[in-house]
Amino acid sequence: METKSIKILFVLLSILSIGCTKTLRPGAYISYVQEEKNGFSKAGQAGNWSYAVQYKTAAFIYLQEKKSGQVSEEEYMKRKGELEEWIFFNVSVQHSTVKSASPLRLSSSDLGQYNILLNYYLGENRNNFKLISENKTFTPEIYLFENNYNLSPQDVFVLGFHTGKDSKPEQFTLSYNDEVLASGIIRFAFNKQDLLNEPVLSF
Amino acid sequence: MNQKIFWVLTFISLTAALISLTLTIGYQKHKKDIGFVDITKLVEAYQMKKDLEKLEESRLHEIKSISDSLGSVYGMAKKNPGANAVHLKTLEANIQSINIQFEAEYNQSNLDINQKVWGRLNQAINEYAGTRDMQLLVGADGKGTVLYGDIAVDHTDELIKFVNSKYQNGN
Repeated sequence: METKSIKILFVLLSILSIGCTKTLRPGAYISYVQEEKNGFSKAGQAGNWSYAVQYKTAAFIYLQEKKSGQVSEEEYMKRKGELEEWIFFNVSVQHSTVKSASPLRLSSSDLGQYNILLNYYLGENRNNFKLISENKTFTPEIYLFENNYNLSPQDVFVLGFHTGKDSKPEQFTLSYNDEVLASGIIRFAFNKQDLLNEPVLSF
Repeated sequence: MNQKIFWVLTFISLTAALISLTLTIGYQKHKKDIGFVDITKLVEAYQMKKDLEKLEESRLHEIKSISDSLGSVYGMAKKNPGANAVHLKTLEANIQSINIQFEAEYNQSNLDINQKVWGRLNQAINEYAGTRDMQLLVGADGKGTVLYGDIAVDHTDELIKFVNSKYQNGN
């Protein structure tokens, strides 16, 4: 009897929590996804290097693409459909205290080494990123190193993992084995509850 | 008169007892913790070490498999009475060279993993001790650093949980 009551209460709470999903306007939605406490954006530290990960939801990507342009629900739904088999991230890294150069530049002793590391970042480094779900590990199918020509103290990687529609994990961990900065493996766990709490974009 | 003295003495005794109690509690509260950690257990249980070793294992396995397959070719060639002696010598030298390379890669890989693991562990241990306001955290490595440690000050399991949780969350 008691177990039954608990079950009913759990179902009611679940329904209530679904009903409580936030609906946010574009500006507020972007802020929500970028705020670390909401679980879509993560930060970490390994030695002197600071890492940050932004999980990019379909709405986040759509709004970033539209910038200040007019947004429409119809257009968004179409874009969402195109992105639903994918999981995207931006991973950025910078030195914790030295802000005068990019990590790539700070790790190079001369131009020759800089070019070797740059080439590594542009290509092979892709294999150091993994998306780990409960029963599968993915390697990014989309990988882009944003070459900032040492004009920014931050190096940014754009990652796209093709998970498929049916096998899209409910929670996952992004893992990066940083071979260039020799920080070891950096992991960022994205939990189910945070992902379920994703706000609905309102127009 | 005697009764007055009795009450004054009682009051003084109670006040002294109260002050002493307050000081003891205050001291206990501010007394910084000390403890020890079984380093071998900590390092072996650290998830990043396991993950790095797994990655290295597949890379080293590739080198080892080349050496192994050359070894079996050499073994077969050696049994062949008509085998060219110069070719056999070259094959032998190649196997030796690959084995030396494997050994060097293996040692380097261990050094790299150790460096990465300790770089990250030191960071997490500092945070662990800092948040608990610890005075001293000794690493027991089974070589006599800690001759005896009460279980009450053994932080090994708690620290393992802490460092692995930090690892899962970007640190």
